[in-house]
Amino acid sequence: MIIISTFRYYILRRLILSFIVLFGITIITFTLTRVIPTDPAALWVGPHARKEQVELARETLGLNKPLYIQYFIYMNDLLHGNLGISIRTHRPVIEDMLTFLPASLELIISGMMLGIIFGIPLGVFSALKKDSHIDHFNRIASIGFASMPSFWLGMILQLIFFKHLGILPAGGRISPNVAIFSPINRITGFYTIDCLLSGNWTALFDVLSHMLLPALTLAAYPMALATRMIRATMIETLEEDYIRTARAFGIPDRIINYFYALKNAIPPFITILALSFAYSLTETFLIEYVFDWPGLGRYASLAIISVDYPAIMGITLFIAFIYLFLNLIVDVIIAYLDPRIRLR
Amino acid sequence: MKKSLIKIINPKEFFKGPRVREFEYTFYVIRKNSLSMLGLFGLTLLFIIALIAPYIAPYPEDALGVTHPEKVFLPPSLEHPFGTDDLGRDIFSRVLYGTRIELTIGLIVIFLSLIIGLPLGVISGYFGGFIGEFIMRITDMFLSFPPLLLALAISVSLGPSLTNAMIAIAIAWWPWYSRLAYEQTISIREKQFIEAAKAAGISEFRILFYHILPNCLTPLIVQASMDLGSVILTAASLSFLGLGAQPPQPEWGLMCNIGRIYFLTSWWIATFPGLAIVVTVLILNLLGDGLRDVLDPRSRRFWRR
Amino acid sequence: MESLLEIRNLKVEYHTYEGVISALDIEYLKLQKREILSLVGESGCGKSTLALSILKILPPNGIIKNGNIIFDGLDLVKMNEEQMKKIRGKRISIVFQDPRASFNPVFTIGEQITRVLITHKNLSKKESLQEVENLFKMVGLPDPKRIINSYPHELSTGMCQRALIAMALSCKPDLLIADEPTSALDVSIQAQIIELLRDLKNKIETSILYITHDLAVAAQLTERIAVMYAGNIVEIGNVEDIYDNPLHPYTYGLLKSIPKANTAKLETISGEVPDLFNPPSGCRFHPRCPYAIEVCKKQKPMLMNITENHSVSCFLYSEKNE
Repeated sequence: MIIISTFRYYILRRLILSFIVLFGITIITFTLTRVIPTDPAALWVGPHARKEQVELARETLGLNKPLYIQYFIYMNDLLHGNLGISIRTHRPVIEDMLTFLPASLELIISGMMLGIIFGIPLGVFSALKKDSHIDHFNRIASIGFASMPSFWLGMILQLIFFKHLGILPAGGRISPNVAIFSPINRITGFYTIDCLLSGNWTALFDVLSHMLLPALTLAAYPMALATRMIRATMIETLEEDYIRTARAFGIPDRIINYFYALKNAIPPFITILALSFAYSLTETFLIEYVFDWPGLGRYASLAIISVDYPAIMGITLFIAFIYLFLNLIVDVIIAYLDPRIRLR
Repeated sequence: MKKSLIKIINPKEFFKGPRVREFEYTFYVIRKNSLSMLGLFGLTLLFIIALIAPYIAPYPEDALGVTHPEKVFLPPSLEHPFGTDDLGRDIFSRVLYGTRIELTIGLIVIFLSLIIGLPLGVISGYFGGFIGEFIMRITDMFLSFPPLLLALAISVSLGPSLTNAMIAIAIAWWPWYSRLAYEQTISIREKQFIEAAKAAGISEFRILFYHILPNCLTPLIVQASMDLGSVILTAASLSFLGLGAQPPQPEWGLMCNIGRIYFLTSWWIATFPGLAIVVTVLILNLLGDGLRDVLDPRSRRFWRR
Repeated sequence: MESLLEIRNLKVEYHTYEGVISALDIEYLKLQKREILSLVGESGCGKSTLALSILKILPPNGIIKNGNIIFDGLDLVKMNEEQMKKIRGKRISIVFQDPRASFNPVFTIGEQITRVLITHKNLSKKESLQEVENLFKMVGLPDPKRIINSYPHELSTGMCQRALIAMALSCKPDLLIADEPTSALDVSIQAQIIELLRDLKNKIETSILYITHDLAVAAQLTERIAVMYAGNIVEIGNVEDIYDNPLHPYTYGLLKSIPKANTAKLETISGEVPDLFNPPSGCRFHPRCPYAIEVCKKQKPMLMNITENHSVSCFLYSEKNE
């Protein structure tokens, strides 16, 4: 009999499950592409096509074959990285996505970082000063921020900082004059990093000022989430017996609060990262749309508005995959960090 | 005023049984938790507004499609507290009517999700085996999409309309309840009183219905109350992208979308509907939080977006 | 012998949603140096509250209303948090009931014990590890190195309890409070731990305040027993005195209710544990006392010395003393 450690067994199980779920995702997205009310062939050819052209399109797209063969073709295409051609841009969807991905990632990462860097200390502080005025204020503020629609928050920020104060740009990623006179060397696709790498300080300042408002908008929910989760975890941990024992042995409060208690907050921290990232992936649709940020989100929103099915399905699939992968990594990390699972 | 309201509905006055202490304590905790009281109060207010909207709206016809081209883009004033939009409609009236739409969306979607998710979760948890695994794998598949994304994709496929949006969101939301019900059922079915019931020969259906189901309800109610706010946000987001409510419906997300075009010149068109969303979702989140504190204080459930 | 701990007129309350619980009302309690005193009483009688009060680690809703806890000349009640931190773990330590729950599950046992040593004795990491190994030998833990690197859930409850005792004794405290250290253990492990404590008692200079609900265990381990009921000390005496000549009706009831080999019927004390929101007036035991007289309902009896080492707080004996 083979004895494998609980941890490896856990990873194996998760991998197999994820694989199955992966297939399920493809089935779901495939079903969605075939459930649409309008004829994909007609859509492909356009509204002014003749009947024969629609028929031709149907044959080329393989839509007259039985469903399971269509699925097979679909999977085959997927495995070759072919997600179809966008109706709107007439380019391969995968190409479009990869072009716009860095801009979105840049925004998502900065938004998340902003939110979490402010949210965690606030949560710890709130927990330590439980039921004080500042704690109540924090709680209401974080519920408030989590209740705001991101598109609305973005618009309000634009109103305040662009229209009334005039200190920040309303949209876009870079000002036109900076793009012309201090163009950025495209090394990574991340404007901030590229500017730093090439020492382009004018562009850096411009890029950062463009990024500030959308990142703030994106940061609202992660910050609220981080505050609440950290606060709840800290409070729960601080009520445990082992904290009381540590106090009974005269261990300094500083160590109890920031070392003993906080270490228990690492799994929730990972969860916060994952939830924030998942939130950001889709909420970026709205935020990029409002701020005209040339990223995957705006591409998706435009695809939705122009009913560009291949693009929409491609993006859905892509994001679902990322989300699945992310959840897998998070579960593995949490299992690794919990000595109760790791060492047995 | 709040306190006297509570006295009226305090069941202590009406029931004198052993359950009295439990009710007393529950109401006591609800009262103590002033945030959730605020939520409860706010929700009642919202319901009342939704009910009497036709009577308090100064221009009810504006919410139903009538336009006034001569009154376009009027800033907020005494006559039009929230101003008028690009078609001259009174935004205040439209926001009031919008309450009806939002609350309906929230309740219907949650209801649908529960109807689908709860039975599936309980069945797969109780019977286990192949069926259980199968249902749970399907649940996992749906869970692997962020809710907004799935709702968007389904909405696109079904076509833009409010009904389709509600269906789409329900399809994206049911897996959470299924998973919750499954976990609860698993933990309950191991408990002794189920064995005792089986030993006493009670039929499986009765066990499921009278013993397991009620015990599943608590975390589901907690999650549902916390989800109400998220569902409304999702619906508003869908409408903002043109997928949910269609003109001339006075849905708040749709109004924000319209207002966006004119935002820098006529800020009131998008600001007030958005504010209505914030307030509503805030109230629902407070209520959800409060309910969670009362019913399941050890849980760490959060709003999902 | 000098007294190490003297408690006078200690009143402790808990403030809860439903009202104020009058948890402790102790007139007088004394513990000598190198003495082992058992505190015996039912669940909820305030024994743990006393332990927490001495160390001043009551939960936020627990308040010491008044009284003095004189520890080696210092009044702990008057000390602030900073001063208490120097005493906790160093001069007074405590062993709690559930050993597994007393250790942080995400840190190793070694980390947690060395932390205590580093805090109080300013040792380096290396020195404290060495010290921990010695301590583990003293409490009978085999293979110290393995245990130092283990997490709490990897050890049996008995081993955890030994480790906890080691941690408590690490700084050679003057007073060790043991709050029902064996209640969470199997009977066989219980016997081992009691054996360990008996063993240690002869080797170290620490006084032990042993809290338990089990009168029999108290008798095995200690020299003196203090009986608590509903927050009051009702009787204090040597083990022999308590067993041969229980003075307080409650003590008598406790002794009677210990089942012996040939017991046919189990004896109980009638009535229920009192509601501490509204404690009974006068003597808190009077509703259940078969010997209650009029004055018991009106006044609280004072602690009286019947013999040199045997005190009781009961009106039945007040005439004799007068």
